[in-house]
Amino acid sequence: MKRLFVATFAVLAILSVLAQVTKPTREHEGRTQIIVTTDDNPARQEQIAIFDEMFPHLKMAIDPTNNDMSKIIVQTMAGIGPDVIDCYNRMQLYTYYQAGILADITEWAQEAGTTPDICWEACEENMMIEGRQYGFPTNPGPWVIFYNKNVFDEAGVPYPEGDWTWDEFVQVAKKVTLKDEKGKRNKTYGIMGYDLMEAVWQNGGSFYSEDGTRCTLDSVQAIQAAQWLMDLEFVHECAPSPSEEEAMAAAGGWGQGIITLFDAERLGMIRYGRWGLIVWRRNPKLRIGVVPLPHSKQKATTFVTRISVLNKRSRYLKEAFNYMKFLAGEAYCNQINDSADNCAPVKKYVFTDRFLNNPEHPEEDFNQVFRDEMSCARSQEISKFVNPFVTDRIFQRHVDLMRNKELTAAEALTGAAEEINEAIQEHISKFPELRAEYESLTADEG
Amino acid sequence: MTRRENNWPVALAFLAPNFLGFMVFMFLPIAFSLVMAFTNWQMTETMPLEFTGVENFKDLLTDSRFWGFFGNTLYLMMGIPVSIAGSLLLAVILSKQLKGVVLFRTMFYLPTITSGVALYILWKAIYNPEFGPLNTMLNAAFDAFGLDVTTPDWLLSIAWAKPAIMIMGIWTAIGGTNMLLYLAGISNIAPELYEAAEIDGAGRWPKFRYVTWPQLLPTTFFIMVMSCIGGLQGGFEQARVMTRGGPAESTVTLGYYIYMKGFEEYQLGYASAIAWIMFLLIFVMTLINWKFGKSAFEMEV
Repeated sequence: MKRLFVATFAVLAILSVLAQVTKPTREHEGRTQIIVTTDDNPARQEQIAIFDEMFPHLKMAIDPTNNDMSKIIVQTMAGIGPDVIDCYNRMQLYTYYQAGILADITEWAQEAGTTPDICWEACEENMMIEGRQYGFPTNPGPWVIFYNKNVFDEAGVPYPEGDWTWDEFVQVAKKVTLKDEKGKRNKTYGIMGYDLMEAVWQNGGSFYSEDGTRCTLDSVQAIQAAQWLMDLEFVHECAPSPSEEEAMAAAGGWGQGIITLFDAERLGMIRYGRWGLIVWRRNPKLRIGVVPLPHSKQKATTFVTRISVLNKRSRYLKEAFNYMKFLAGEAYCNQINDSADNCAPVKKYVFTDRFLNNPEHPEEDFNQVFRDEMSCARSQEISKFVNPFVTDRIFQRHVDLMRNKELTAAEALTGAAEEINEAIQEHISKFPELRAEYESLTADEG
Repeated sequence: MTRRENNWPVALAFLAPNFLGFMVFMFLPIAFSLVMAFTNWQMTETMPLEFTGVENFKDLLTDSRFWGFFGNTLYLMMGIPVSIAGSLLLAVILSKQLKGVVLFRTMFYLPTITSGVALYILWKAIYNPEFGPLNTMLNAAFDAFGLDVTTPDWLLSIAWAKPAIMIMGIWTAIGGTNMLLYLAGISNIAPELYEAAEIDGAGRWPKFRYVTWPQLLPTTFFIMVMSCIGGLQGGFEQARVMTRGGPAESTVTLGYYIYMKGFEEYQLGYASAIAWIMFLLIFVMTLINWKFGKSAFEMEV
C-alpha cells in the first residue's frame, strides 16, 4: 500500500512538473500574445489576421470563455486577467471603472491620435469617464427599422419612406400585421423589439435629470411613451405580447430569435442594428428596406457599440495599447463596414463610397440611413449616483409588471422612478464624496 | 507504539489531499464570507473596504426584497410534501415484482442523472404559451369540452411562473434519489411483518398504513430534512435558465438573491450576510424538523 501511494504521488508530481513546463507562454516565435476577451464570431478570424499583419511583433488571441463581467473583474484583480476587455455597454464600462481595473490611456491615445474626436460624437461618453479616456469603440451604430419588402408586398402596403411619426408608424404596423388562414392567430406581426427608453426619448423624456441626481421616468413624456408602447401590443395588436414573443422566439441567444423571425417573414418590421445583415445576407430571397425609427416630439435612437478597454494590471499594457491603434486603423474599419458588423468607429471611414455601395452587396442601398441616424443617436443614460445594474433591475421589474398588466403605464413608471430615487439616496449614503457632489448639485432645488 | 509512530506520516499523507481541499475550498471561503458579512466589500476601488459591524444584517431585516424572495423560496418548497408522497407511491409500485420493473426504475431515475440545464430548457419549451405541448394539450381538452378557458402564460406570467417551476421541481424529484431511498427502505422491511399482518386479515391499505409507513419513517424523516435544506438553498439554476428571476422577480429565491447582490450588483459583503442568514434559516428549520419530526417518529413507532 505504501509503495502504491508513493508511486501515485510520484506520478502526480511528475505530471505537475510537466504541466508547469509545458504551460502555454505568452511568447510565440518572437511574438507576444495579446489576449482579448470578447465573443467569438466568424468575423474575428479576419480581424485577427488584420491585427497580426499590422503588428508583426504581436499575436492576437481571443478568449470568449472568460467573457463574463464577474470573472473578468476577479481575474484582473488576481493579476491573471486578459489584456483587452470588450464592454458591451456603458453600464459595463462604468462597472469596470468602479472596480478600478481600467487603464487610463489618455496620454497614449493623444500621442497615437486615437482620441474621441476621430470618432462619432456619441462615442465620447462611451470612451471617457471624468474627462479621462479609458477605451475605444469597436463597432458603433444606431438602431433603425428594418422592413421586409415581401411582407409589405403581400399586405399591399407601400414601403415606408424616411421621416415618419408614431401615428404613421402605427398605421403601417397595423396594416402589415397579417392573420393566418383561420383568422385566429397572427402569422405576421407589424413590429417587434421596440425599446421603451427610445420611445421615452422620442417623446421628449429622459431616464435621469440632466445632472443625474434624479430619475425622471415619472414625467408625463415618459408615461405617454410607455402607454404608446403598451398600445402597440394590447390595443393595436401589431406587436407581440410577452407570451407571443416567447412563443415566437424559439431560436435564441443574443437576439438570434428575433433575427430568425424576421428572416422567416414572421415580422413586417423589426427594430434592429446593422449587424442583423450578417445573418440576413445568407437568405437570397429576403428583400430588406431600412428607415429611421419613427418620432413623436423629436428624433432619437440608441447609440450602440462595444468598447474595448485595457486591463491596467496587464503585463503587456503598452503592447496591448496597439489594439486601440488597430481599431482606429483603415483595414479594421473597412472590415467592420464590409462585414456589416455595424459601422466603423472612425467616422471618416463611414463617409466613403465603399460604405454606401458595397460592391459585393449592391442590393443594400440603404446604408445612408445608418450614417444619418448617428446624428440623433444617444447613449444609454447612466447616473454616477447609483449602481446602473440596480437601476436596470428596478426598471425591468416595472416593465415586466406593466407588460403583465399588473400595473398601468403610469403606475409602473412612477413606481420605477420612486424606487430608483430611493436607490440613489442609498448609494450616495455610502460614498461621502459622492454625497457631497450630489448635495451641491441639488442645493438649488431646496 | 513504535508502529503507530512509524505510520503517522503515511496516514497524514493519505488525509492531506482531502483535508487540504476542504480547508482551501470549503473552510477558508466560509470563514472569509463570515468576516466579509461584517464589511462593506463591494469589489470596487472607489469604496475602500471597511468594517461595518452588523450593518448588513440590520439592512437585511428591513430589506423588503429579501423577505419577498424568502417568500418565493417557501412557496417553491410547498412542492416538497407532494414530491415526497409521489416518491413513496412510486417506490411502493416499483418494489413489486412487475414485468420490466428494472427498466421503469431506470427511466424514473433518468431526470436525476440528466444535466439540470438540459431539463430546464426542455421544460421551458414545454411551458411555451403558444406552441408548448402543455398548452396545446390543455387547449385541445378545453375545446373538446367546449370550455372557453384561456391557458396560462406559465413562465411569463407573474401568477403562474412559481407554480410552473414548482411543478417541474416535483416532476424532477419524484423519480429521483428519494424514490431510491424509499426503495431501499422497503426492501429492508422484514417480510415477516407483512405475513403477520396478512394472518391478521390486513388488506393492502392496512398493510401499508401499519407496516410499510411506520417502517419507512426514518427514511421519510431523512428525506424531509434533506429536502428542506435543498429547498431553502435551491431555485437558482431553474430561475437562471428558465426565467432569469422574472417576470418582475417573481421567481427569485434566496440563492438567486445572493447571486444578484454578489455578482450583478457587486455588493459582496451584503451577499455574504444573506448567505449567513440563509444558513441560520436552514439551521433553525432543521432543528424544528428534528424536534417535531423525531417526536412524531417516536410516537408512531
